Amino acid sequence: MSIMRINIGPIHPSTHGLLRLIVDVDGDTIENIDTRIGFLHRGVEKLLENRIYMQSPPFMEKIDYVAPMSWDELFVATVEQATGTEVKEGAQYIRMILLEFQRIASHLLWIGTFLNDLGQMFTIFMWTFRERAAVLKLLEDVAEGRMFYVNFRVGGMKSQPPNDFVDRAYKLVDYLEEKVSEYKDLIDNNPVFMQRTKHIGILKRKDAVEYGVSGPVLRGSGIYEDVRKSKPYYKFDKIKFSVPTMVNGDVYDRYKVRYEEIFESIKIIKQCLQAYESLENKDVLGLKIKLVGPNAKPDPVLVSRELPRGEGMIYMVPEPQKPYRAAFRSPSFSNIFALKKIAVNSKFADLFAILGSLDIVMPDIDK
Amino acid sequence: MEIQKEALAQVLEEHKRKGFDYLKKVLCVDYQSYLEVVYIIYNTESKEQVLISVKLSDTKRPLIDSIIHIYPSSDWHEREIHEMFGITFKGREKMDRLLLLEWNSNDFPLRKSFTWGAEYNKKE
Repeated sequence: MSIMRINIGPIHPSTHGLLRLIVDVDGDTIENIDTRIGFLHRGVEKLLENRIYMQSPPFMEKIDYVAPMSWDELFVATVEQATGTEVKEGAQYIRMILLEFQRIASHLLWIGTFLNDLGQMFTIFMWTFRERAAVLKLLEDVAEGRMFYVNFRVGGMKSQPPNDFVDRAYKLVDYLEEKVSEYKDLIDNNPVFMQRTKHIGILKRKDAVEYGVSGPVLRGSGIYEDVRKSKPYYKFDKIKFSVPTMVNGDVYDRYKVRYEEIFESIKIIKQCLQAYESLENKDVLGLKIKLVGPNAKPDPVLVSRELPRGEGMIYMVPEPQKPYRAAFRSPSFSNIFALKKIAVNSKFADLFAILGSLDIVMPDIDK
Repeated sequence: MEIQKEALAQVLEEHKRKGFDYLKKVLCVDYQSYLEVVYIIYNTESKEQVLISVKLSDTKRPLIDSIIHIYPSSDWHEREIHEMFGITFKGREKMDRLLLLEWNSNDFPLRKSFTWGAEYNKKE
């Protein structure tokens, strides 16, 4: 049979951003994929070079609008390392709590939109958004922003968390634990879901390493790799949690890893809340934003974080008050690169299940 | 770890044999008098990370070996560096644009010599 070329997009699949795929199909089997990115390129790396350090967090957050806090924190942590600033102990716990809440919110959004990608329109979506709204409400009350927060400051946070923060966070994690457990009945016991995800889009262990995927995609292929374990930051070395991994590396495994990670994040949050409560000094305030902040040392710094989508990294060559050069390793960039490897020889109808399972956010790829 | 650009492929192959099987990132920094390309490689078993850097003193026509046959994931990183810094990677097919889709200029935006709005002003 002759090869047919299908152009997809540039479209905005679910919440992922703008993407174009040129797919060659033989019948309904994918023969080749040409992934075209770059529609949302804004030159963030160049923008950073022209702004003082604390001017940058607001647009660092826009790199990943599904989990804005995580990129914001990564950038602020890079500045802290470059300037040699210690983060207050209370602030370390608060950051861990907020970042894990952000991870939960991101995974919840992903589960909802992933089921939409599979054609299970808006049932699970409404459920996950109900829980996500509860998480966002708490983040909003802490950071005073609904979608973007900008509440990290060098050395700490913008403001003290509200007085009832710990109680509300405890209640919220209990609520999340109960509700997220319920998803199992609708997802895992659903034969249509299982048929559309099991043994579909397999990424073998060896290929996962070779193609440089990270985060849940890498762990779904059976590799035990998590920056929080391999290079612990803040107090992650004192916290007990496990890293869920799977064996087959198919679409279902990538879903399962993210689903299990929600419960691990809940464990982390509970322990951090306990530790924060028992602290004598609960001060979390960081430096105020000024025109001239602390000077950075000239040595290049490299900071890694486990973002909801995988490993994020900033390599920065500092000048005293602004970056000379900042280069990002964004997790989605490496993950979408592997799409061709995963999807070739799959059925065309499975393409969006595979694409969805990579959990990409396009601005994260395009920078 | 800084190495000569001729030794790049050999050093990376050696590291890969020692278990550094995962390429995290290839990046470039323009120091004006020279360009520096940094390879961040990682051992997924022992969790070690190594930075290997190469200095390119010819900034007019920078040339370096492609490592796509050692680490396939370097493909897009090399394409990105090619359009942002103008470095040519030897030993691979022609590189299409990756991020700068409608970029007609021969300027390389992440070079320090790049001037803002030059392209726009020319059109006026």
